[in-house]
Amino acid sequence: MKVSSAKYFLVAPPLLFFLALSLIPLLLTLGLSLTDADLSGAGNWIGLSNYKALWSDRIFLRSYLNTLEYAVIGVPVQYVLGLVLAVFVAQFQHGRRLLRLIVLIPLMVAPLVVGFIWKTMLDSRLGPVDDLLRHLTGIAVPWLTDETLAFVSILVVDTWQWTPFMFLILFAGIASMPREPFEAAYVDGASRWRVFWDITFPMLGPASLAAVLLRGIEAFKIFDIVYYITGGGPGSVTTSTTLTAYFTGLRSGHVGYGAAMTVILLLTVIAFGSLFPFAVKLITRQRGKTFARAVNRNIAATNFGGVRA
Amino acid sequence: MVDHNINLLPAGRQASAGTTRRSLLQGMASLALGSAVATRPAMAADFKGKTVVVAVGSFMSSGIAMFKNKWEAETGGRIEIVEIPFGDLYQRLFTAFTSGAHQFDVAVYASNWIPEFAQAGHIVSLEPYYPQKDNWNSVLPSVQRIMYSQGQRYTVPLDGDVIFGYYRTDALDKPDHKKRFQDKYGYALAAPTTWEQYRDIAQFFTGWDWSGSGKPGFGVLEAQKPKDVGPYIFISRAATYAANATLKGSLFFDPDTMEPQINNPGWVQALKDWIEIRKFGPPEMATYGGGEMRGNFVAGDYALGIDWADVGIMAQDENSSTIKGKLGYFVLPGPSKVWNYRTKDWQAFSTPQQAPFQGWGGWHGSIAKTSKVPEAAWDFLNFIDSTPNAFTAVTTPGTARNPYRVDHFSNPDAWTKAPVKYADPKPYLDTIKAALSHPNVQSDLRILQSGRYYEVLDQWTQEALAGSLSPEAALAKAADQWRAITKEAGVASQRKLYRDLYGLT
Repeated sequence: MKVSSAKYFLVAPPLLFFLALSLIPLLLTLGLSLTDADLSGAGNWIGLSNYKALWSDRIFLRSYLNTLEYAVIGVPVQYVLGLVLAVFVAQFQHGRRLLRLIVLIPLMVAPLVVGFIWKTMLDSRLGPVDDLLRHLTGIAVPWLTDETLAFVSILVVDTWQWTPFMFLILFAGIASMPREPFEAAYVDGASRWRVFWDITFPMLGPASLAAVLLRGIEAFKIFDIVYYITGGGPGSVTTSTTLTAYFTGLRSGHVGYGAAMTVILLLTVIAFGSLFPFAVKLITRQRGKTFARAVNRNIAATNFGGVRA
Repeated sequence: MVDHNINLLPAGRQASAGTTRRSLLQGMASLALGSAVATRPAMAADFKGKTVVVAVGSFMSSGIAMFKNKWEAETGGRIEIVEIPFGDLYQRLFTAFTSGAHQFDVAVYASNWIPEFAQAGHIVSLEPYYPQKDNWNSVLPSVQRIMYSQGQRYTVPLDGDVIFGYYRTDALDKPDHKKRFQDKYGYALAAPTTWEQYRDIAQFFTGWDWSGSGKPGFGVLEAQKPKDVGPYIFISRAATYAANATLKGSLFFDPDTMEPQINNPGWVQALKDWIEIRKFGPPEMATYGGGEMRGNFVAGDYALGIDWADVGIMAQDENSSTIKGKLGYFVLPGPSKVWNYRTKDWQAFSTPQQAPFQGWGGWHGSIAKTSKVPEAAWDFLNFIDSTPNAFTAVTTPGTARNPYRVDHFSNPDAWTKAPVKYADPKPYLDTIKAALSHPNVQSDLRILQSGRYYEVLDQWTQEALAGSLSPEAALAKAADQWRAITKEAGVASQRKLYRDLYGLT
């Protein structure tokens, strides 16, 4: 019994720390979202009125949709690029450290500096990107002022900054793989693509899951880049939920309403965080069955001297 | 109203019904303090061992910090400057005030917030201290007016803000350009006095190398980035269409009913103009905030621009500016018809109707109610606003302090010798003075939750700028939300504040 009590006593400090820093603010935010509180924190209980209002708030809906698009489009693109880079860099025996460092540089730059760099890069008159395009095609592209291109530009910048994060996790995953399955596959005459698709990629499953999950959660919180590069414009085509919530809650002083926005975002992130591993598990299981069936067919074909059973 | 507003009234007005014993005692104490301050010898006060904590918005901090060492050396006191990011200033001040905890002694902030902070009792009335101030009379009347809340002064002015126009003299004054412009538009090229002229000039100078820089120039540069200074620039245009000089207080609301005016045809016309002018600026104008507008304008290639007095100061820095000595200035143009909210029709005038806008209203310093060293706080505020120090501040680049005293305008030669080394400062100073002294000068919105009103206006004007909504629809949506904010804040109290702003009874 004594051991049991001591166990709880030892666990208590980090638990209290977690409660103080995570759960209490969360509950406070939830509470605030049900009030019309202003910056002073004073407000009246208004039930779900803030949430009802959100569904007809054009700016919020636009920002919410943008945020989903940033995550749904950006994260897979970053994953694929990160994977390609990880596999590419892993092939090198020499200079791997240098390459890894170069790939990781964007991740080390502060987001506001990233915003400044890219805002300059994409300036249609002064930036090097358009300067090059003008020389090649004679056309200047309004990267940050056209509605569609501004959104794409934010995605490009986000991808530039966060692909190294995917790379980092996937590269670590590749580096920690055992060599035997690869050697066996090459001995059996498997092509490089086969080896990647049937060995590397499945074995990267846990690392991929972690990378996409962590990056996905982070992607929903996009703020700095949008704030600096476009301020959410033109209009509200690039604005994000965090940006809208910040301006609504802390700049305009509509704290309760802003809190409701963050709660909706939180629920979305929780839904993503819960459903994504589940979906991956389902897909993996399905793929595993297919893979097993294929293996069985191969085994059967081998057993009968190449004659299909 | 909170007690301290009542107890600082002159003694003769204290004996009114409802004055409590506590407030009477507080009032006596305040008056005693005031007289003590007033009778203090002219020599520097001794504040040894006292620390004055000054909270200030980020890019204004150098306008304060430049006097820190001198004040400390003269008084023995200590100044601790808390620099708050500009965008977070209101929130930080508000939360600090409402928490009741003492976080700073002096707050340096936008004049728009004075009524809100004063009414809530977060800052103290400075009436007891003002008798000892020897340069009050030299503050421009339009700046003096801003400092009051309910008949009392709550701030020390540190800055004078008004939005006006800039033009490149090498563009507009060149004989060849004048001739070509005359041929094309049928009237003489000069600083614009109407918005049509402003548009024509912007159009004329767009797309060709008029500056000799080797690349095509643009007609105009204005800050239009979302969540930046865009609303101020837009209102400076809208004021000319909606602030009817014959109807006081007609810019933002109907002062009788507090019905928003921001969707009336005057505002709609201003928004249409603002959308159209984008054609004559660089595509990135949509992403340029105030800082970017200033940096780019002084780097060259823009014939016209709208900003506060900052562009003029920045243009003198030859390290970043290519336009020193090439700047002209003008009070913003006006239309010949202005919306009349009473008749609900356009009212025609024989001359262009200007309405210079005191957007932001300038930086002001106040003493927090929680200050334990109000005397030292006052002394420091008075020090940085003393006649010589104020002049040094407004003539030093990077201080974010613009001219606001009569003497700042009376000696242009001093500007050429000051740190800014202004080239030909007279037209610059004359324009600012003309704007600030204009009979139809418009104060910024100084009612409760002005930040929210601005936020809403910014959101919907951006929708119109992006083409997602028509100007009419966008401003109608903004007006709906303004109505809701007013209702939430209290129509009666907002109405009172709004009417006070225009001196309406």
